[in-house]
Amino acid sequence: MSMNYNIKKLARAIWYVQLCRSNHVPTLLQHRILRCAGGLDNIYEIDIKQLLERISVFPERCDKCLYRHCSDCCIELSTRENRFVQERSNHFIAEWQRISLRKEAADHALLHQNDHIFPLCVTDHEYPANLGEVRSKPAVIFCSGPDLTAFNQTHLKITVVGTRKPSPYGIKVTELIVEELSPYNVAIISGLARGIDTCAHNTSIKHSCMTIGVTAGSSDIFYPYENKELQTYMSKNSLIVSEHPPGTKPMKQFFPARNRILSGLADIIIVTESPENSGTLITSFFAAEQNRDVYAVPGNILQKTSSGCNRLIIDGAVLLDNPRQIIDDFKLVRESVNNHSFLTDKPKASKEAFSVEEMAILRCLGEQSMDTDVLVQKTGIDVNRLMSSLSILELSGEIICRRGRYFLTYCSN
Amino acid sequence: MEYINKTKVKYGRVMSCALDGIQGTLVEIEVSLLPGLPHFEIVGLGDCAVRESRNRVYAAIRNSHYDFPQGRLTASYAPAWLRKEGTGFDLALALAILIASGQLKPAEIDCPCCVFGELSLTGRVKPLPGVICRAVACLNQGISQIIIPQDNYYEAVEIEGVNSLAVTNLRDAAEILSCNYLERMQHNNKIPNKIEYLNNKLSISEKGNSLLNDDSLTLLSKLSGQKKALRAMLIAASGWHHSLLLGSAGCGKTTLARTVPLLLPDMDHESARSVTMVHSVAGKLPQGSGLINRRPYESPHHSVTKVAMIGGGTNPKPGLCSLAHKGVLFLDEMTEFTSGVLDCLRQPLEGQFIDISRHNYNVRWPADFLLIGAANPCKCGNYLEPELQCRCTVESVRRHLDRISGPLLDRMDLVVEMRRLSVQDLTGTVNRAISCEPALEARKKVSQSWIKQYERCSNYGLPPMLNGRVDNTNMVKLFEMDDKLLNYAAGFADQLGLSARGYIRVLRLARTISDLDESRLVKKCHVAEALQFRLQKPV
Repeated sequence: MSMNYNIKKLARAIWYVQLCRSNHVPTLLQHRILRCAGGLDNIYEIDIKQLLERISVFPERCDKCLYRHCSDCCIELSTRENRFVQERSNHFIAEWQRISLRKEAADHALLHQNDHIFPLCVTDHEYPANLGEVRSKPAVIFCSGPDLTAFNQTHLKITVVGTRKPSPYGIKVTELIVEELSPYNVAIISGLARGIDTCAHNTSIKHSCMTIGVTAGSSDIFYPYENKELQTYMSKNSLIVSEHPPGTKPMKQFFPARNRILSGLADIIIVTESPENSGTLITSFFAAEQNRDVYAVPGNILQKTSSGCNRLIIDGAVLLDNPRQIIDDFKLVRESVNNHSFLTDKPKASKEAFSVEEMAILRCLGEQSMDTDVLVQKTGIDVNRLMSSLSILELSGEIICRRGRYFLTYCSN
Repeated sequence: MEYINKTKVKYGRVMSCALDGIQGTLVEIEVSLLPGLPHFEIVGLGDCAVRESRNRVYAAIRNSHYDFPQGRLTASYAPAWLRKEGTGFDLALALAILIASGQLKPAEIDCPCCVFGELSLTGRVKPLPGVICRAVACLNQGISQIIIPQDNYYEAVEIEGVNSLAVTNLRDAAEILSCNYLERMQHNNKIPNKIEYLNNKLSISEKGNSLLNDDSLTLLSKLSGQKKALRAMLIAASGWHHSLLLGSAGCGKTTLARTVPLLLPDMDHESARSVTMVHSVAGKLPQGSGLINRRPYESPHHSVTKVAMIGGGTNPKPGLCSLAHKGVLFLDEMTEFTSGVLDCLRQPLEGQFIDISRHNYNVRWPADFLLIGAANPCKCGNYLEPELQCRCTVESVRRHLDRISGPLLDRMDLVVEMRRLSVQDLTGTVNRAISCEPALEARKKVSQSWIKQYERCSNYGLPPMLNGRVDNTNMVKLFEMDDKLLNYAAGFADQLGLSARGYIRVLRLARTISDLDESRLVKKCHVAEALQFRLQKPV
């Protein structure tokens, strides 16, 4: 019974979203129509022509309109909505009444009946409260996962974002923050992209923390493909949210729009590593627009990988140097019994264990990451001895090699 | 070489030599002059060049003031089933005709003589490709005298046990054939410039064949900032380790590869002979040169075809990987080569030879080359550059390197990541006085480590081989590694997620590094250094 109902609702959601998209219906008008219809269930039954006439010609008399849930549709139409109603409504109405489109949507929904995708529209009470506050929220979101209640019950919803090409520092910071926050009944939201996003999801899954992915395409399309396993796991065990009907491939223009959902779902945003001109910064601009707190992790000023974060701090983001800060700010209460704290357990390498040469290397890398040839110049050690020291340091976990350059694993010393 | 003095039988016979790869086969050229209308035919599976030789021989005989016999002339090249190609039979054919027509009476000595050379229309004898291979074939067949074009004298003279008689024209050759043994032996004294050539050769060998001229010195000094890469090339040259250089455009990959032949020790006589043979067959030997003593260096463009790379063609010709025998094969922009061409290199990398089988021939060319590949690390090339922004995704970087197939990558012992030199480095190289000391020292180190490796092989009763060539079965025994060290290396490999092949590569490199270090046993620090040359997966 509930299965049938779900497919019916999915069919209507697909139909509605595709209809609105092909006719360029303004987002606010999409919300209005859904509210007037009282949700997706009755959407086929409403007389769209009458509805559009009423809300455009007599906005002030809307309280007398025939439809339920019409509390806020009396607000005057915006210019975009007005233009739409005046110029393109005829076509929209004609399309609305075409039965073939409804059949197509039903077939489409049937195709995805086993994917456990459930649509949520703005009138549904499960629709995430945070996202509900956002003016440009999507009228319908498609979720795949067990259910949303776990998400709604978390104390704090945190979006963790960052660059797709992180440095070891960015990865470390992301792991550290997510690990520290995971016992506090929080939800970690991220974009299922490469780099920091993947790291955030993986770390929260590792520490059994609620995690939510927001994809740019639909939730059943794997992008990037290498995250197939992660995405499948998350759609079964946690939650993946998308504003697109199933089967939509991600396109370039979807990514900035995805970012507004990323920030909209959350209470706060943490940017762990971002160069300038990054999509991450779009997310934080949305966050500022939506009144979310933005936390940014500062980085080395000599490296471009963190310049975006540093710029955010200059522009007024909160400087995050310790994840405890968030716990204190939001008075989070530890729920899980896991007492492991990353910061306290951080292995303190005994300085005596290293040779003079290794110490010299560590000192040089403390200033900046560099490659073998520069290290030879700076330290003055012979290249063959230097290389064997580098291997030993690498294997002891002190340094890490990325793109031919060496980085300190723990950038604190 | 016998003249049958019967009025009815007019017959002449001269030995020559055909080439099959670098192997030669003796060919018997018989000419029979029969009564009939004037007619001249060559039988015995000759190619176009062989058939065309009729016209050259006719003109050469007439222009050397001999008579071309009237009547039905049949020449037969035996063995008749063997395909014969090229112009090398001209001289032998002309001599056989002269014998058959009674104008030349060869001396009756029991020492057989082989003849090869191309004729010009005036009767001059022109040089040939592959003379050294033919000389070796004659030696193996027990023929101790050969008549060769004078321009090929110096390459044939390197084969001891064969007496090469250099001739400049048809009359000369005819004269030698009619001489007795002693007179023949004195013939070569007439060769011009012989003394100068020998003196020159002596002085080259006294200098230790040092190839470090000004050009190569500037090469090395340009690279003085690339410490890691230079070290890698030193190791590659010492242990014959195939290498892959990764770096952006302009970081010095090509320059680095060009230093490798300079670091390699001089070739011994046998290697030089095999290199000269391949080059001679390919017709790449400079005119009038003797044995090649420079290590070959081949750097084909990436549009090279399969046949050009490994050899083949209608008439078998050695490919680039054989021309690079005992030297360096440098593949610039290795990712741009078609995968078929690259995968053809697997057999020579494994066995140091290449077998070419076509419907009309099977040949085996030597192909013991040191492969050095260079490639950009990603499509835009800036993946390893800290200053330049690389816009490639991890996936596209991975795809870029995937163009070199896994089996081939597995054979690359060394992977070096290079980046462009900064301004400080460049000023450093300009100011530094150019000296050949470091280069000479590096060369000496390489020679010493080769000697060590060969000694170790002979201690274990194995044929001499360099560390890069040692196979897995002999490795642990030959490399004198104890269990403790093996466990240590295995621990490393485990931690870094190396494959079994990767682990073996590290052991090989570690052995070479310890040889360079003049250490008898492999130490932990050598293994640690070897780990720096593994292929790092893009993250």
